[in-house]
Amino acid sequence: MNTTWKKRPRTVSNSTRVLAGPPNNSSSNSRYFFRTNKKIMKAVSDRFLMWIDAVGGYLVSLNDQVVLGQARPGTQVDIPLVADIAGRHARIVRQKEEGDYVLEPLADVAIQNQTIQSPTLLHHGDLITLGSAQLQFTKPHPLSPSARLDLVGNTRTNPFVDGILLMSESLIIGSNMANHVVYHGEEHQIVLFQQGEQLCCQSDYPVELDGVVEQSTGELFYGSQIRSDRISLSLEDTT
Amino acid sequence: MKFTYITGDTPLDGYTIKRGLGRGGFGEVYFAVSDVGKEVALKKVDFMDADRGDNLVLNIRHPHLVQLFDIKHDDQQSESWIIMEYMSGKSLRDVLTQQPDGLTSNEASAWFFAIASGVHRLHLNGFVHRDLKPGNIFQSEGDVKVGDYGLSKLISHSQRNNHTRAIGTCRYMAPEIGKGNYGNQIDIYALGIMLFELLTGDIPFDGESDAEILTKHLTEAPDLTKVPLEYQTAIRKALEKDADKRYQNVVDMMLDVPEPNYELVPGFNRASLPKEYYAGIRSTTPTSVTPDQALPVQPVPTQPVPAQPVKNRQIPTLDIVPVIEPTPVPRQGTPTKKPEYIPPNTRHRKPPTWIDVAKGELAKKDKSQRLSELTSSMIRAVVGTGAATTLLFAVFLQTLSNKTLSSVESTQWFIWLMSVMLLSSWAVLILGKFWESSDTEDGPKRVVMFAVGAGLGALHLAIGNFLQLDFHDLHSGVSYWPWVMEHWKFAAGESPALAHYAVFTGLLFAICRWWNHATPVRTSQYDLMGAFMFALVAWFLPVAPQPLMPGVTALTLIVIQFSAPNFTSQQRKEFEAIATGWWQNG
Repeated sequence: MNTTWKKRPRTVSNSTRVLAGPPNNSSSNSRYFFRTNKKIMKAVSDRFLMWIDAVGGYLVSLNDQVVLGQARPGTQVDIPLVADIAGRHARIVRQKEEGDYVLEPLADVAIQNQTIQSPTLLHHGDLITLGSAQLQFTKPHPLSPSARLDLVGNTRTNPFVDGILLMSESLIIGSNMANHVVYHGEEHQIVLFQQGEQLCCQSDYPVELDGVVEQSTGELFYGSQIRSDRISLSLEDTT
Repeated sequence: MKFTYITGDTPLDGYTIKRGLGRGGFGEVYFAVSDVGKEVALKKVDFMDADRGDNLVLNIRHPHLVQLFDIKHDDQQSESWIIMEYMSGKSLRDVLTQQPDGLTSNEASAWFFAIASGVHRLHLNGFVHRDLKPGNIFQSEGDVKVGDYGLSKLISHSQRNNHTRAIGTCRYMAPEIGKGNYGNQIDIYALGIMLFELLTGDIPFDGESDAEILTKHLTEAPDLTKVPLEYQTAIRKALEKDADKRYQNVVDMMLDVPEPNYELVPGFNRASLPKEYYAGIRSTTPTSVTPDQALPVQPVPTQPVPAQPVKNRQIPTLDIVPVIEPTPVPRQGTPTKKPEYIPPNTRHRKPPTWIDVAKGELAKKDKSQRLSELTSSMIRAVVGTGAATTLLFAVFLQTLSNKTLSSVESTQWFIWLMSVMLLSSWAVLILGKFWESSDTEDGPKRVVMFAVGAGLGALHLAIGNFLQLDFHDLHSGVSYWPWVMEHWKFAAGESPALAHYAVFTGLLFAICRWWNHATPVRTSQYDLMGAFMFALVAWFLPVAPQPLMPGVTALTLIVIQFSAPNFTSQQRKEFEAIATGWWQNG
């Protein structure tokens, strides 16, 4: 990883970022607050949306357990699918030690077109069929336990995203095919990782993080923006 | 890729931006969700005039065309937003990037039939897409749709000159686009290129630069060895250089392309093909028709396609129907003057520069306009000559002369110098006016200049003799070439030989490109370096009296530069933009 550039002293200290409830008018005033670095930002909890320009939108879940079910108003499922499936159709559990994923069927579930009745270990590339919905499970990076679910065919989520990321400790966004999110462009890698309760990011190329330029590491909140001349992404609350 | 707006922004009332999707032909495209949850693609266009009555393209509906929902304007930001169907899948560009060796023939056919059906509908409704390329073809949940159609009609001229437009599009551009007179056949050509690319992963005409690619489009035959045999006929005919030899409608081309076996292309929805295609299938393969079906069908198939396009019919594209204002691009200008676009020599293969545009602009002026311009610059020349002669007289004449000049002699010299400079600059200005919009090579111009120069030389000498001027007064005899001086020797009270004087003045006019300093198409009003070079030539060609004549030459050139009008840098920039526009958009 290249860290030869000179790191500028951070112009914003952690104390200016008060971790509190979401701002009342986040959308209309957000850019103003970014410029003054006084925005009150909500700490990222278990789920968020990640929008990457020219790449895609992703639903990221930090939980070790996610429930897949039909998208209904007021539903509590982690991954709401717009499909003819049960309200709670299946659960994916991450084994903390091994980093393996187990699919627990709560209704009719098939892996690689084989109906399963009991919790079953998922393998890289498995095709999961939940009623009319189909997802493909991949674990792109050999060293990271984070996994990815791609929507197959007409399957779609609500809110609409291009993929679902089951994030463990880290999530790698870069131009390598083994990254969790792959973009085609100049080589540039951004790693999101959990540090205690906090979601952080590290970049191998100076980025503008929430209006502060020339950053290589920093904390992320709902509404955070990472921008550089190579990639730009922002996080959004799912609600 | 940088985008103006970020997640959560609401530049258009009622829609929240989620993320940037990419940069299309005319501007940034975003994925946005409306307040009630409708997913749309928003295309930001800097300036657009959709109230011109040619927004009919908004209402075309076809399963293989990306639907346009609406267009909204934001007057404060001078932005317009095209609200259209969001295609969640990849573009054909992405697919081809991931499969650099091309797709299977079934996949290629599946893409092609869907694209062709959409393009056919556009043609039936009287539109030419004009910008067909893989980046404009989208896939969403098994459906293939053609996007970005008809937008060139909606977007104003100023936007079209934008440099971001149409980068790389020349890879799919038919040869006749440069001529500005084209119809549906340019889309057929682009379909041919795309079918080639679908099958091989490569485009048939590729190169390092736009100029190289364009030349290949104009001259080279496609190499079809990598294309499966059953597709070669269709591609060869679609890529004919002559638009008349190409397929005249999309259905004819589809009939020559093998239909896909949709069983073998999972994830593709069956394309909804135009009914003319089925009619064509029946008429071309009557053997497959069962006998009882044959009777009712048989009388019909004489005309498989009802909409037989008339050759070169007037398709209302923006170039032909200028709606806002008369088009600033002179179509009758130099680059399109040649009836054949096939480059006869390398000069025409070069992309048009601002000079071509400027010359086209000059060609539009009528005679009286030219005459008045010429008159005013000739009057300016009189003023300039007066100033220049005074300067020359004050600074040099007394120091250079062999003897102290009497007041009569000084007056003679003053008159002579002034008339020499004035006549020379007038001659150059008149000739430059003739030549300012012409494309004549330098050779013929030099011949004319030599003749004019020789005449001027004789005239100068005659004036000198008439004024009873003693050339020897100012002639020092110092020159670069002593042998020339042998011929130039003339004693006090004599004047140089008429033949010599005329020939050398003629050479001075032929060697230097005087006309380049009299045309409005020059980069700056004054070119002192040029004046210095001219002086140098006048010194090498010792035109008597030496060394006064080099100074006279340089000052004459500056007088010409002072008198001749010049395009401003602002105008040059505009011409440059137009030239780029020509090159990119044809």
